[in-house]
Amino acid sequence: MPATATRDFFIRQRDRLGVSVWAGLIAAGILTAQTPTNAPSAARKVSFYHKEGNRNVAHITASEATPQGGSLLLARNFRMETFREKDGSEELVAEAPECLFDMTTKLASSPGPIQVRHADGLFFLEGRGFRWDQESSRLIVSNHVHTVIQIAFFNPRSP
Amino acid sequence: MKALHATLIPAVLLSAALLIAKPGESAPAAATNNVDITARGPFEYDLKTGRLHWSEQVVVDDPGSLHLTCEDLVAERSLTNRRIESIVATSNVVITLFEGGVTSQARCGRAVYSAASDTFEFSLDNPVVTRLDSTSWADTIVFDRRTGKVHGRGNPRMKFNAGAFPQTNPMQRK
Repeated sequence: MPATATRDFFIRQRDRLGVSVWAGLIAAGILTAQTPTNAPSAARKVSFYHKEGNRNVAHITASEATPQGGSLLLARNFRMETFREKDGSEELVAEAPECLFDMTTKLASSPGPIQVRHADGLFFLEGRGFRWDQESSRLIVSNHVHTVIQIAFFNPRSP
Repeated sequence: MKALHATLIPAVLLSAALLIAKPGESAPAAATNNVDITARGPFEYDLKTGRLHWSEQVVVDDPGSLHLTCEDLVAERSLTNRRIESIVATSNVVITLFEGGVTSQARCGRAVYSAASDTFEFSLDNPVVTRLDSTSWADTIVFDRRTGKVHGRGNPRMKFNAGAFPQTNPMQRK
Protein backbone atom coordinates (compact mmCIF):
# COMPACT_ATOMS: atom_id res chain seq x y z
CA MET A 1 0.00 0.00 0.00
CA PRO A 2 1.49 3.39 -0.98
CA ALA A 3 2.19 5.85 1.84
CA THR A 4 -0.57 8.31 0.69
CA ALA A 5 -3.18 5.60 0.58
CA THR A 6 -2.15 4.37 4.02
CA ARG A 7 -2.41 7.90 5.43
CA ASP A 8 -5.85 8.39 3.81
CA PHE A 9 -6.99 5.06 5.25
CA PHE A 10 -6.00 6.10 8.79
CA ILE A 11 -7.63 9.51 8.38
CA ARG A 12 -10.90 7.85 7.29
CA GLN A 13 -10.71 5.43 10.22
CA ARG A 14 -10.02 8.32 12.60
CA ASP A 15 -13.01 10.29 11.25
CA ARG A 16 -15.23 7.22 11.43
CA LEU A 17 -14.09 6.54 15.01
CA GLY A 18 -14.67 10.19 15.86
CA VAL A 19 -18.25 10.03 14.60
CA SER A 20 -18.88 6.84 16.60
CA VAL A 21 -17.43 8.34 19.77
CA TRP A 22 -19.54 11.48 19.40
CA ALA A 23 -22.67 9.42 18.66
CA GLY A 24 -21.96 7.30 21.72
CA LEU A 25 -21.44 10.35 23.91
CA ILE A 26 -24.68 11.98 22.68
CA ALA A 27 -26.63 8.76 23.26
CA ALA A 28 -25.16 8.43 26.74
CA GLY A 29 -26.05 12.04 27.44
CA ILE A 30 -29.67 11.50 26.40
CA LEU A 31 -29.96 8.37 28.54
CA THR A 32 -28.47 10.17 31.50
CA ALA A 33 -30.86 13.08 31.03
CA GLN A 34 -33.85 10.72 30.96
CA THR A 35 -32.83 8.89 34.11
CA PRO A 36 -32.72 11.37 36.97
CA THR A 37 -29.84 10.96 39.33
CA ASN A 38 -30.00 14.18 41.29
CA ALA A 39 -32.94 16.27 42.39
CA PRO A 40 -33.01 19.77 40.93
CA SER A 41 -31.60 22.39 43.22
CA ALA A 42 -34.43 24.91 42.67
CA ALA A 43 -38.05 24.91 41.52
CA ARG A 44 -38.20 24.18 37.85
CA LYS A 45 -40.19 22.36 35.22
CA VAL A 46 -39.35 18.67 35.08
CA SER A 47 -39.88 15.94 32.55
CA PHE A 48 -38.18 12.61 32.75
CA TYR A 49 -38.56 8.94 32.03
CA HIS A 50 -38.33 6.25 34.63
CA LYS A 51 -36.59 3.34 32.98
CA GLU A 52 -36.00 -0.31 33.70
CA GLY A 53 -33.10 -1.31 31.50
CA ASN A 54 -33.92 0.12 28.09
CA ARG A 55 -37.67 0.08 28.67
CA ASN A 56 -39.64 3.20 29.52
CA VAL A 57 -41.75 2.44 32.58
CA ALA A 58 -43.19 5.89 33.18
CA HIS A 59 -42.98 9.46 31.95
CA ILE A 60 -43.29 11.99 34.72
CA THR A 61 -43.80 15.71 34.24
CA ALA A 62 -44.48 18.64 36.54
CA SER A 63 -44.83 22.32 35.77
CA GLU A 64 -42.80 23.04 38.87
CA ALA A 65 -40.77 20.78 41.13
CA THR A 66 -39.26 22.05 44.37
CA PRO A 67 -36.68 20.02 46.30
CA GLN A 68 -37.86 19.05 49.76
CA GLY A 69 -34.68 17.49 51.03
CA GLY A 70 -33.22 14.11 50.23
CA SER A 71 -34.77 12.67 47.11
CA LEU A 72 -38.17 14.28 47.67
CA LEU A 73 -39.71 16.76 45.24
CA LEU A 74 -42.85 18.79 45.68
CA ALA A 75 -44.38 18.60 42.23
CA ARG A 76 -47.07 20.95 40.96
CA ASN A 77 -49.33 19.95 38.08
CA PHE A 78 -47.97 16.45 38.37
CA ARG A 79 -48.63 14.12 35.45
CA MET A 80 -47.53 10.56 35.11
CA GLU A 81 -47.94 8.21 32.20
CA THR A 82 -47.13 4.55 32.63
CA PHE A 83 -46.34 2.18 29.77
CA ARG A 84 -47.20 -1.45 29.25
CA GLU A 85 -44.42 -3.94 29.70
CA LYS A 86 -45.71 -5.99 26.78
CA ASP A 87 -45.65 -3.45 23.95
CA GLY A 88 -44.64 -0.11 25.50
CA SER A 89 -48.01 1.47 24.78
CA GLU A 90 -49.55 3.99 27.16
CA GLU A 91 -51.33 2.32 30.08
CA LEU A 92 -52.35 4.78 32.76
CA VAL A 93 -52.36 8.57 33.04
CA ALA A 94 -52.53 10.09 36.52
CA GLU A 95 -52.80 13.83 37.16
CA ALA A 96 -52.67 15.70 40.43
CA PRO A 97 -52.44 19.45 41.12
CA GLU A 98 -49.76 18.75 43.69
CA CYS A 99 -47.89 15.80 45.12
CA LEU A 100 -44.69 14.65 46.73
CA PHE A 101 -42.51 12.52 44.51
CA ASP A 102 -39.59 10.48 45.76
CA MET A 103 -36.97 10.20 43.04
CA THR A 104 -35.34 7.21 44.71
CA THR A 105 -38.30 5.05 45.67
CA LYS A 106 -40.50 6.30 42.76
CA LEU A 107 -43.35 6.89 45.19
CA ALA A 108 -45.84 9.67 44.52
CA SER A 109 -48.31 10.69 47.21
CA SER A 110 -50.62 13.50 48.16
CA PRO A 111 -53.59 14.20 50.44
CA GLY A 112 -55.11 16.19 47.60
CA PRO A 113 -57.18 15.30 44.56
CA ILE A 114 -56.15 12.93 41.79
CA GLN A 115 -57.60 11.96 38.43
CA VAL A 116 -56.65 8.73 36.74
CA ARG A 117 -57.49 7.63 33.23
CA HIS A 118 -56.84 4.20 31.84
CA ALA A 119 -55.46 4.58 28.34
CA ASP A 120 -57.53 1.73 26.91
CA GLY A 121 -60.69 3.36 28.23
CA LEU A 122 -61.33 0.84 31.03
CA PHE A 123 -62.01 3.52 33.58
CA PHE A 124 -61.78 7.10 34.65
CA LEU A 125 -61.27 7.66 38.34
CA GLU A 126 -61.12 10.60 40.67
CA GLY A 127 -60.66 10.82 44.40
CA ARG A 128 -58.79 12.50 47.22
CA GLY A 129 -55.53 11.37 48.75
CA PHE A 130 -53.38 8.92 46.85
CA ARG A 131 -50.21 6.93 46.81
CA TRP A 132 -48.65 5.57 43.64
CA ASP A 133 -45.91 2.99 43.95
CA GLN A 134 -44.12 2.75 40.64
CA GLU A 135 -42.05 -0.27 41.69
CA SER A 136 -45.06 -2.44 42.48
CA SER A 137 -47.38 -0.72 39.95
CA ARG A 138 -49.96 -0.15 42.65
CA LEU A 139 -52.28 2.82 43.06
CA ILE A 140 -54.18 3.55 46.26
CA VAL A 141 -56.79 6.30 46.40
CA SER A 142 -57.83 6.99 49.97
CA ASN A 143 -61.12 8.86 49.94
CA HIS A 144 -64.23 9.76 47.96
CA VAL A 145 -63.48 7.44 45.08
CA HIS A 146 -65.60 7.86 41.98
CA THR A 147 -64.96 5.43 39.16
CA VAL A 148 -66.60 5.32 35.76
CA ILE A 149 -66.10 2.02 33.95
CA GLN A 150 -67.08 1.40 30.35
CA ILE A 151 -69.77 -1.27 30.16
CA ALA A 152 -67.90 -2.97 27.28
CA PHE A 153 -65.27 -4.15 29.74
CA PHE A 154 -67.83 -6.30 31.53
CA ASN A 155 -68.75 -8.15 28.38
CA PRO A 156 -66.27 -10.83 27.32
CA ARG A 157 -67.82 -10.95 23.87
CA SER A 158 -67.46 -7.25 23.03
CA PRO A 159 -64.52 -6.16 20.86
CA MET B 1 -84.43 -40.00 47.56
CA LYS B 2 -86.66 -38.18 50.01
CA ALA B 3 -83.88 -35.70 50.73
CA LEU B 4 -83.35 -35.16 47.01
CA HIS B 5 -87.02 -34.45 46.50
CA ALA B 6 -86.99 -32.11 49.46
CA THR B 7 -84.25 -30.08 47.78
CA LEU B 8 -85.21 -30.46 44.15
CA ILE B 9 -88.91 -29.68 44.30
CA PRO B 10 -88.57 -26.31 46.06
CA ALA B 11 -85.67 -25.50 43.74
CA VAL B 12 -87.79 -26.19 40.67
CA LEU B 13 -90.67 -24.23 42.16
CA LEU B 14 -88.30 -21.41 42.93
CA SER B 15 -87.04 -21.36 39.34
CA ALA B 16 -90.53 -21.51 37.90
CA ALA B 17 -91.90 -18.82 40.16
CA LEU B 18 -89.09 -16.44 39.38
CA LEU B 19 -89.55 -17.02 35.67
CA ILE B 20 -93.24 -16.19 35.80
CA ALA B 21 -92.80 -13.31 38.20
CA LYS B 22 -94.66 -10.15 37.36
CA PRO B 23 -92.79 -7.01 36.40
CA GLY B 24 -91.60 -4.93 39.29
CA GLU B 25 -93.13 -1.57 40.03
CA SER B 26 -90.02 0.56 40.19
CA ALA B 27 -88.93 1.88 36.82
CA PRO B 28 -85.20 1.61 36.18
CA ALA B 29 -83.19 4.53 34.86
CA ALA B 30 -82.30 4.62 31.19
CA ALA B 31 -79.32 2.47 30.22
CA THR B 32 -75.96 4.07 29.55
CA ASN B 33 -72.59 2.81 28.34
CA ASN B 34 -70.95 3.37 31.71
CA VAL B 35 -71.03 1.83 35.15
CA ASP B 36 -70.54 4.23 38.04
CA ILE B 37 -68.77 2.99 41.16
CA THR B 38 -68.41 5.23 44.17
CA ALA B 39 -66.78 4.34 47.46
CA ARG B 40 -65.77 6.09 50.62
CA GLY B 41 -62.39 4.49 50.11
CA PRO B 42 -59.76 3.34 50.00
CA PHE B 43 -59.55 2.07 46.46
CA GLU B 44 -56.63 -0.02 45.30
CA TYR B 45 -55.56 -0.91 41.78
CA ASP B 46 -52.81 -3.37 41.06
CA LEU B 47 -51.76 -2.99 37.45
CA LYS B 48 -49.67 -6.15 37.49
CA THR B 49 -52.52 -8.44 38.50
CA GLY B 50 -55.43 -6.38 37.11
CA ARG B 51 -57.18 -6.36 40.50
CA LEU B 52 -59.41 -3.42 41.41
CA HIS B 53 -60.60 -3.15 45.01
CA TRP B 54 -63.11 -0.66 46.42
CA SER B 55 -63.81 -0.43 50.15
CA GLU B 56 -66.44 1.10 52.42
CA GLN B 57 -69.90 2.21 51.38
CA VAL B 58 -69.50 0.97 47.84
CA VAL B 59 -72.28 1.84 45.41
CA VAL B 60 -72.39 0.41 41.89
CA ASP B 61 -74.85 1.95 39.48
CA ASP B 62 -75.42 0.49 36.05
CA PRO B 63 -78.46 2.50 34.99
CA GLY B 64 -81.28 0.37 33.63
CA SER B 65 -79.56 -2.86 34.62
CA LEU B 66 -78.21 -3.00 38.16
CA HIS B 67 -77.83 -1.12 41.41
CA LEU B 68 -75.60 -2.59 44.10
CA THR B 69 -74.46 -1.55 47.54
CA CYS B 70 -71.89 -3.35 49.69
CA GLU B 71 -68.90 -2.72 51.92
CA ASP B 72 -66.25 -4.34 49.77
CA LEU B 73 -65.98 -4.90 46.03
CA VAL B 74 -63.23 -6.64 44.09
CA ALA B 75 -63.06 -6.82 40.30
CA GLU B 76 -60.55 -9.06 38.57
CA ARG B 77 -59.43 -8.04 35.14
CA SER B 78 -58.08 -10.43 32.53
CA LEU B 79 -54.54 -9.55 31.57
CA THR B 80 -55.02 -11.09 28.13
CA ASN B 81 -58.30 -9.67 26.80
CA ARG B 82 -58.40 -6.80 29.34
CA ARG B 83 -62.05 -7.49 30.20
CA ILE B 84 -63.38 -7.72 33.73
CA GLU B 85 -63.76 -11.44 34.42
CA SER B 86 -65.30 -11.49 37.87
CA ILE B 87 -66.68 -9.19 40.53
CA VAL B 88 -67.04 -10.15 44.17
CA ALA B 89 -69.16 -8.01 46.49
CA THR B 90 -69.06 -8.77 50.19
CA SER B 91 -70.67 -7.59 53.42
CA ASN B 92 -74.22 -6.22 53.49
CA VAL B 93 -74.74 -6.80 49.80
CA VAL B 94 -77.97 -5.49 48.30
CA ILE B 95 -78.45 -5.88 44.55
CA THR B 96 -81.40 -4.63 42.58
CA LEU B 97 -81.54 -6.13 39.11
CA PHE B 98 -83.65 -4.84 36.25
CA GLU B 99 -84.09 -7.63 33.73
CA GLY B 100 -86.55 -7.36 30.86
CA GLY B 101 -88.97 -5.20 32.80
CA VAL B 102 -88.69 -7.42 35.88
CA THR B 103 -87.22 -5.97 39.03
CA SER B 104 -85.74 -8.29 41.61
CA GLN B 105 -83.67 -7.69 44.68
CA ALA B 106 -81.09 -9.89 46.34
CA ARG B 107 -79.62 -9.53 49.82
CA CYS B 108 -76.68 -11.59 50.94
CA GLY B 109 -73.23 -11.55 52.50
CA ARG B 110 -71.40 -12.35 49.31
CA ALA B 111 -72.31 -11.95 45.65
CA VAL B 112 -70.10 -13.21 42.84
CA TYR B 113 -70.60 -12.13 39.24
CA SER B 114 -68.93 -14.15 36.49
CA ALA B 115 -68.68 -12.39 33.14
CA ALA B 116 -67.98 -15.63 31.25
CA SER B 117 -71.26 -17.24 32.31
CA ASP B 118 -73.11 -13.96 32.99
CA THR B 119 -74.32 -15.32 36.32
CA PHE B 120 -74.66 -14.02 39.86
CA GLU B 121 -74.15 -16.31 42.82
CA PHE B 122 -75.55 -15.09 46.13
CA SER B 123 -74.35 -16.72 49.34
CA LEU B 124 -73.61 -16.13 53.05
CA ASP B 125 -75.78 -14.38 55.63
CA ASN B 126 -79.03 -16.07 54.55
CA PRO B 127 -79.30 -15.00 50.92
CA VAL B 128 -82.75 -13.89 49.91
CA VAL B 129 -84.21 -12.92 46.55
CA THR B 130 -87.35 -10.83 46.53
CA ARG B 131 -89.66 -10.40 43.56
CA LEU B 132 -92.97 -8.63 43.31
CA ASP B 133 -94.88 -11.85 43.96
CA SER B 134 -92.45 -14.02 45.91
CA THR B 135 -89.53 -14.27 48.28
CA SER B 136 -86.97 -17.06 48.02
CA TRP B 137 -84.25 -18.30 50.34
CA ALA B 138 -81.46 -20.85 49.93
CA ASP B 139 -77.90 -21.38 51.11
CA THR B 140 -76.77 -20.36 47.63
CA ILE B 141 -78.90 -18.76 44.95
CA VAL B 142 -77.62 -18.62 41.38
CA PHE B 143 -79.14 -16.20 38.90
CA ASP B 144 -78.41 -16.73 35.20
CA ARG B 145 -78.87 -13.42 33.42
CA ARG B 146 -78.89 -14.99 29.97
CA THR B 147 -81.77 -17.35 30.63
CA GLY B 148 -83.40 -15.45 33.49
CA LYS B 149 -83.42 -18.67 35.54
CA VAL B 150 -82.79 -18.75 39.26
CA HIS B 151 -81.65 -21.85 41.12
CA GLY B 152 -81.54 -22.34 44.85
CA ARG B 153 -78.99 -24.77 46.30
CA GLY B 154 -79.20 -26.00 49.89
CA ASN B 155 -82.29 -25.49 52.04
CA PRO B 156 -84.34 -23.74 49.37
CA ARG B 157 -87.69 -22.36 50.43
CA MET B 158 -90.13 -19.91 49.03
CA LYS B 159 -93.04 -17.76 50.00
CA PHE B 160 -95.58 -16.53 47.50
CA ASN B 161 -97.21 -13.22 48.17
CA ALA B 162 -100.97 -12.85 48.14
CA GLY B 163 -102.17 -12.45 44.57
CA ALA B 164 -99.33 -14.42 43.05
CA PHE B 165 -101.75 -16.96 41.63
CA PRO B 166 -104.97 -16.42 39.64
CA GLN B 167 -108.08 -15.80 41.73
CA THR B 168 -109.67 -19.13 40.86
CA ASN B 169 -110.19 -22.29 42.84
CA PRO B 170 -108.06 -25.00 41.19
CA MET B 171 -110.24 -27.68 42.81
CA GLN B 172 -113.43 -26.33 41.28
CA ARG B 173 -114.74 -28.28 38.27
CA LYS B 174 -115.55 -26.31 35.19
